[in-house]
Amino acid sequence: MAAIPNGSVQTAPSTPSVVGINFGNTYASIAEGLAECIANEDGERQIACAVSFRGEEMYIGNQAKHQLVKNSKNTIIGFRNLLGKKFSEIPQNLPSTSAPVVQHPSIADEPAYKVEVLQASPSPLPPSTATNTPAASIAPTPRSEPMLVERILTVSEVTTIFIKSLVQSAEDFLGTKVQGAVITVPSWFTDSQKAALESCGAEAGVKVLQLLDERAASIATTTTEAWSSKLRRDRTQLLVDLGASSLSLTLLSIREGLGYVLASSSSTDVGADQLDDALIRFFAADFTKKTKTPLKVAPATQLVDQRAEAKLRLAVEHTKRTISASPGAATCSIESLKEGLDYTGTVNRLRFDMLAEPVYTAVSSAALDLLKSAEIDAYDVDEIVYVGGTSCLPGLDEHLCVAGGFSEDIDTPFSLGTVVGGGVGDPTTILARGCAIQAAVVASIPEDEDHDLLKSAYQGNSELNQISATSRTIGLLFPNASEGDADGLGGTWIPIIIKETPLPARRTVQFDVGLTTESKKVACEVWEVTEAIRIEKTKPPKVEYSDNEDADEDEEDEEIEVKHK
Amino acid sequence: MVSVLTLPVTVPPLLPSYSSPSTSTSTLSQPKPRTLLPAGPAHLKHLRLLHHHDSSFDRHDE
Ligand SMILES: Nc1ncnc2c1ncn2[C@@H]1O[C@H](COP(=O)(O)OP(=O)(O)OP(=O)(O)O)[C@@H](O)[C@H]1O
Ligand SMILES: [Mg+2]
Repeated sequence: MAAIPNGSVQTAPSTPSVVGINFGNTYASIAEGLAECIANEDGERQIACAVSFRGEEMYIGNQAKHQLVKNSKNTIIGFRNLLGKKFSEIPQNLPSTSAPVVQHPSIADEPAYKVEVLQASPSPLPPSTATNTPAASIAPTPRSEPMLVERILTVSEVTTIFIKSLVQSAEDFLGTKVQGAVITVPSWFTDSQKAALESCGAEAGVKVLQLLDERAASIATTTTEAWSSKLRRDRTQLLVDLGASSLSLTLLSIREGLGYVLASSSSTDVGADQLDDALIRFFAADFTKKTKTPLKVAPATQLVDQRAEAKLRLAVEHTKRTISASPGAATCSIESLKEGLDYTGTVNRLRFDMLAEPVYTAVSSAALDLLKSAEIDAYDVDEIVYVGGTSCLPGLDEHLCVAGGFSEDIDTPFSLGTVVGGGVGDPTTILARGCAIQAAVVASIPEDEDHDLLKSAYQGNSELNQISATSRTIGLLFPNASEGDADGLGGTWIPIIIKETPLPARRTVQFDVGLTTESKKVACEVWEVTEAIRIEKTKPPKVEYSDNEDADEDEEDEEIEVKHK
Repeated sequence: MVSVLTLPVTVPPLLPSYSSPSTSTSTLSQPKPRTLLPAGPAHLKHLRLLHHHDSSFDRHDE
């Protein structure tokens, strides 16, 4: 089967509809083969992971997030990360701007949310027919007002409600029933967290075809034909996932559509939350300057300031998206920010990038650390891929490409021009699209004798995914000693199967042979080599060779391939 | 389907002075164990190659 270009996964009319769901802690998104990213009924493609209760109503998504201003104690966010955890495993007494996590009143060590909802009062009892009870009035008891009651929801119940609404949105959009879904999980999810998510999916009425590591979801998208025709099919990729509250970096070996992790790191100290703090402080100071009204946020101590902060937090979502979408300045407007005063302020790209600088720097130093610990030279990274909302910011790419010490012609979705306008490189859609591609792959496996074996590869930690990969590059040397160095190893070197390629491997390479009248023969030697990067320093005008070759090498190894990008 | 990588390279012809090196005695380096990320059509194809076609590309291509 050839790589399926993104957006052209065909599902025959008889096959059930399967979707991909990116389930983040902050935002979720849904995709299906042809419909790359599905908007919910409010037209949102990034759907806030929030569930809020007000009166008799329940809100889900961005509408629920807006309840954080005036109804924060009944608004639930951040539940994805708590899924499958015990109450005792969750840090307590954290400052909370949303419904607090409490111990479930009857289930031992179970985290839950306590919200207040209005419950319609119970219907009056039907008139009694018993004979020996005193006759009551025949008129029905008047219906009383709805009552304010406490409702306890476990983390799993909230997740189920949320997934159900995502699936409902997909069904409304597609006009068919959704039978199965591939859902992302962060790489650090434990088995019990995965089990909890899987049962939430089942509770929500959707078959979970596979829980997909976010990095696997990303490679499903970035190995399609549609990703880029310019990129080599064998390459080293740095995947940068910068969300609201987390950063994860992964170095990946991508070989003819196969991928595996070479090294990875993650941190929950880096994310947009810090950037949001800086931005809202900037706008709050501007508000004070313009209105002479004091406003102290991030942290805010007084209730009015806390409300203003919540409004600012919602508003900067728009500001950040504007900065990502266009090179001009972005606004932040809020009605009645404080004491009835409206506010409109602007921030330009330069100023924005100054505010974001600490986050950008945290990402680039984490990238440098990762390369160092993996002993991979920045020049050996062929491509950077961004996922996660915050990596939409062009300033991050600009900063990382320089500060990370990567080659000047490194490919990124920004340099390839695929980010803007919801292009294939849009970091906010890559994971959901990858899940949709994978959902189509899983659904395509026929029910033959292989079916169960193949499907077992999609269950956690399957042995089937344990493979062998080459540890050194194998290629062909076309000798031409007269041109060569003193050691007689001159010629043309063509790497064929580069190191870190899953076995078995097959590569087909085409090139020209320059026969002359003197020589109509061509010969080649098969070599296995250790590659190195030649660093040429022009000042002083002496050429230095820096090699990271280990000293006691096999006789046949040599340094031929000069990565001199 | 096999994808062909076309390189912008012209390899030199063999010089008359070339003598083939003495037969190599060294073997290929040991492969390393790795864990594939289970996603994408190429992954399924690789599984079929390993487990259904006995790692033979020829059988797989049939
Ligand atoms: N176009 C954009 N430009 C800049 N920032 C954006 C854009 N779209 C989303 N964001 C920001 O990205 C963050 C959400 O990122 P993402 O959806 O990747 O998070 P997540 O994976 O759900 O959460 P977390 O990182 O907390 O686990 C939010 O802070 C949001 O404001
Ligand atoms: Mg994320």
